[in-house]
Amino acid sequence: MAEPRSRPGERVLPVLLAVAAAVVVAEGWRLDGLASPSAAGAFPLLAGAVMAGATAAIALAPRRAADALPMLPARVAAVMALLVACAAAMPLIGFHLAAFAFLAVTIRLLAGRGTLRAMLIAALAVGAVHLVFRLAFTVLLPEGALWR
Amino acid sequence: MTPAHLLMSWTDPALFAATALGTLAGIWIGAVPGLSVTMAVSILVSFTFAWRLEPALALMAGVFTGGVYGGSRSAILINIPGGPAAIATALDGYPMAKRGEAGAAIGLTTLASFLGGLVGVVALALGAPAIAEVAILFAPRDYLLLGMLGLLLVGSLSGESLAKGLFAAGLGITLGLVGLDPMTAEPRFTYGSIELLGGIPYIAAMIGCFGAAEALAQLRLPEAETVRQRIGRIVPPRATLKRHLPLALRASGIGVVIGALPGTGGDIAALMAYDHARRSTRAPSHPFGSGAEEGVIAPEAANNAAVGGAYVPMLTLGIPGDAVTAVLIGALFVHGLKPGPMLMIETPHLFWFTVGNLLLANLALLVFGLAGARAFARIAEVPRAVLVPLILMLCVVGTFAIRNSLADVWWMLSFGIAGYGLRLYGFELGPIILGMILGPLMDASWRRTVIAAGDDVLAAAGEATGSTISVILIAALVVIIIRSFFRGRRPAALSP
Repeated sequence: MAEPRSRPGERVLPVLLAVAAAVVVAEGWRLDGLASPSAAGAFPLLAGAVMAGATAAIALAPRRAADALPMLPARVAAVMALLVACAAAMPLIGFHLAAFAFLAVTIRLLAGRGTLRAMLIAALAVGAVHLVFRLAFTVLLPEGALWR
Repeated sequence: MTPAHLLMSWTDPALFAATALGTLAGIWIGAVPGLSVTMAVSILVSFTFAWRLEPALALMAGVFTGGVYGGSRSAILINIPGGPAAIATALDGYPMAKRGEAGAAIGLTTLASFLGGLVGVVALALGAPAIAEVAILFAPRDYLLLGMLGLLLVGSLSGESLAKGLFAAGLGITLGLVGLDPMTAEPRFTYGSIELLGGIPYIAAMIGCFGAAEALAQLRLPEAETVRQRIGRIVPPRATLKRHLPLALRASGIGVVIGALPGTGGDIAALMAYDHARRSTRAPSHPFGSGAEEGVIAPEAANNAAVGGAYVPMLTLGIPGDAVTAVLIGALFVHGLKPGPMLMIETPHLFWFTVGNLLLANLALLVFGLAGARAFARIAEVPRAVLVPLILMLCVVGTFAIRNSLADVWWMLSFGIAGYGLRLYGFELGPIILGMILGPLMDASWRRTVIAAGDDVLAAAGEATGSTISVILIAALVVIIIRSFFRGRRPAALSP
């Protein structure tokens, strides 16, 4: 019987985890974690040791089979990129326009049809957020440097 | 205690409305696959941070109560649990619906949830004051042990393996320690960055982990095909209720105990209660897994009882009972309160308000659950293509609203994207958030303990063996470690 397919990057994972644990241990060491159990670095050193032990256990454990779904489907990667773009654009074009563009594009992309419907939902959602946050809770949403 | 505090949310129209609306929204949120109660409460913290404390707590308690129950709707109607606490309900709920008994399944889950919720609230009212009195006697080492207990429990019961749970907890503790050390003012994990001196905003981290990461993970799944179920008679016959009452009460007891253990929650309580029902029912209405009434009653009674149970360690010790109460602790901090034994002593009215409020939320659950059975059936049909972008937008605006800070939005996005990746490799995000909350408390408790013992770890350990509370906590830790070691890999039902 063929061995079940493991998750991509599963072999590299313990290396990354070990690096993370080493960073924590190093910080604990720098803060005199070994010199005194009540030093600022003592607890980070303990946390780092737990992480290192867990990493060893993960590395030695038999690998789990991956599920049939892709790890990072194109639509998830696209939505992540759109979300980051939306946050990056917010200081420049303001919350309302950035949120509208993000919602309209993402809904259209995920639904695969109905540009007008996506724009309508986006407009309604941004309107609702404006009502709730700006008017009811008086939260100052980013206006955008372009419009000042 | 005064009846005025207990009945506060019943007599004040604004609080009554907040509780009722919260419960209604909770059922709606819980019924939508992909929207979890933790996600909803995380986002709500930012919505309500400018409110007075009582309405904010009322709304969140309603969402918590309604959301745990609401997850059963989609589990029964489309075989997709609305949240992890409804996984066990789907096992028999969906076969009941396929048999044309969706109405009966909804009726039974509603009544079981109501009963479980009541048992949870009674346990909270009776148990919390007693625990708070004991909690005053807790030494710093006991808080350290409790923190370890919570992290170990949540680490061993969630995700793929204990090792991954422990790594996540260690990572969470580290993230919680970023910033200036409160004892020596030395910067830790800041690497020269001024922005990191104030620490990582954990509400942004919570919204990222429980909101954005969960929403992104939903996009990975294929869109489920919706089969509309016919909903017939909802209220079950009296004989059926009488027959199932003992099981519902036993399952509620399981829910309270599991819910009150630091770090565990409704999902584990529901699975344990389901297992109990399967073992203890000699003649189920149908075989388990093919539509047994007992198979929906036990998990639903347990997961709603766990709500009241989860409030016990939160209010008495300042330690979250589950992921939702971890978020609620964050909300209390935002409102300037510090959960723990002193909260019960200094603001007892808040405790009795919470008890009365949870009672009201359970009543609202019963009314909305039975009256809106048919209306809620449509909720599970909202397409992900619309839902997920809206959730992500709420995550952005909710995070921004807390401190009007775009930096917090970037933190939220970072935690959301990193959380998505960690979930793919079998890491549960609960231990990370729990570690962030408990890390500073455990660090301070550790250092106070060793300083009191003359900077000697062995002497501190020796002192611990002389305290009954510490010995009980150490014994609990040892039992959990041994059980986790022998259990090996846990069933896949709870993996992300």
